[in-house]
Amino acid sequence: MKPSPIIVVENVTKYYNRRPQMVRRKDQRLLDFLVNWFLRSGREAPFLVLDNINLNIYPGEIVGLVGSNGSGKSTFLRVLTGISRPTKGRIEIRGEYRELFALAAGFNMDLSGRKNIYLYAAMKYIPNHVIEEKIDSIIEFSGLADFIDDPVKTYSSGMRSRLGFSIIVNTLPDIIFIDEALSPGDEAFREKCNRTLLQLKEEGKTIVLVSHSLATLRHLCTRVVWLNMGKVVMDGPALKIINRYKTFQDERNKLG
Amino acid sequence: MVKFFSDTWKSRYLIITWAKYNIESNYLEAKLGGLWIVLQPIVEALIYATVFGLILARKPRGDAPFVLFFLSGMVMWNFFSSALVRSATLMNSKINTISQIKFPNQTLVFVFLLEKFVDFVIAFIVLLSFNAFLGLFPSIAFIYIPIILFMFFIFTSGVMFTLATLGVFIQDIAQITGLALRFLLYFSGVLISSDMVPEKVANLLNLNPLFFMIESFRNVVLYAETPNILLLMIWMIISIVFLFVGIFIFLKNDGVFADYQ
Repeated sequence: MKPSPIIVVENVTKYYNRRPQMVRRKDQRLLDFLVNWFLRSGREAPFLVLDNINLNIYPGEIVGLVGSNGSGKSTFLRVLTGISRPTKGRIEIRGEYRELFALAAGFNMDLSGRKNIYLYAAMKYIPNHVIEEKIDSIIEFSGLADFIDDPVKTYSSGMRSRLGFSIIVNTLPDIIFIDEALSPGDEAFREKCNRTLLQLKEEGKTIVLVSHSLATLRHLCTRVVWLNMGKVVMDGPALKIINRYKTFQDERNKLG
Repeated sequence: MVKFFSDTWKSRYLIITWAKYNIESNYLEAKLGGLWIVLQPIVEALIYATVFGLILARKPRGDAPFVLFFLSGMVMWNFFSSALVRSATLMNSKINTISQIKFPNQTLVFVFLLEKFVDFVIAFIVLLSFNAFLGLFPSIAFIYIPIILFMFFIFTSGVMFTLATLGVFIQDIAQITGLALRFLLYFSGVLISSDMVPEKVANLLNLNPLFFMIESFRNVVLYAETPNILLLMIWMIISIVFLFVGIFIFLKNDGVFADYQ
């Protein structure tokens, strides 16, 4: 008998109304907005980012998401974490989770690393006494003890990802979502992250990982989901799917 | 809607911490530090008192000097206008956090509101000290102050939620708010009171909730007069409706803010 899934995704579909990122400037002018609103003109067709995704993820899995740029990986992770709302479908997450996205990791750039740790904790409803206990190990793990009271805007992208990763793994979640966030770290830190993730898996934690580094995915994942144009193309054991994906990529590259 | 309030309540520690950090980085790093919160309303009141008192040679009723007349209005107006002027850009300026960490997005509005509330309290204390210095002490009418302020904050947050949501989709909202505030200043009771204009005009001005709130506040603080209870109740109800409409608009769009990064 299979254990019950810790993440349930049913028929999740998401449209961007008018591909916000692409047409934002144009659309944000009041006149355009009003004209569109009144005419309801289909000048820009709704853009399908996620197309009827069904997925069950079980405790102890490390699931990798692969796919070319624009295939919907990041949007899927945003929808999973509840940052963005799906147009249709249902998502259920049975546990506490932390998420770490690339680049800024959601930090407040003007505030110090230490203050960002406290803010992140408060955002996740982690009680104060818990974070007081953890803060030393978070700082130690990140290796940023000398910089922890400097504003995060002075950090390099590698330092930000160190801090972000350190916060999420040290606050005892059941599930971790990581979007391409480890790539800015240096070799030594990436190695440390990988070891930590594998150890968390041994403890029965669940991890969902977006990465373009197939080597990392091969090393970590038990299962890989391949997305293309918002659809699940393939879902299965990590090595098999990675090899198929790689073959597909190589052929596409040959075609130029 | 219920979840909105329970999430907000659960986030109270986040709101307080965040506001504290922001105030620290806004003021403590300036050369004059926290002094700016005190200086700003005083300087503004002095400017208006000079312009209106000396150049136009007008005087408010009673013994209250012009500076206090303006200062009492400015204390309220500054809270309202500074809260509104950044509302439209509030979500955009925090889009990094919104699109990368899941947390109750309404806390952003409350954090900003709390920052402005701290400014307000300090300005209010300045006003009361000026009053005391000139021999005006809090009267029994002060029991109305919490009611007027409660209504005022409810009203302001309602407008803030509306503007914060619209600002994500329509960039022009920021400019429109700026201009509207400019315009509103002259009809808001900061610069005029009912007795300075014909009765018909005064009745018309009272249709503006800001005018009513600011004048009621001033009448209590400077003249120990109780506000019009009927109007107070009507505006209280309307303010509460405003808040719920604002929250409704906000919640309706809450799941797509992150798509506009």
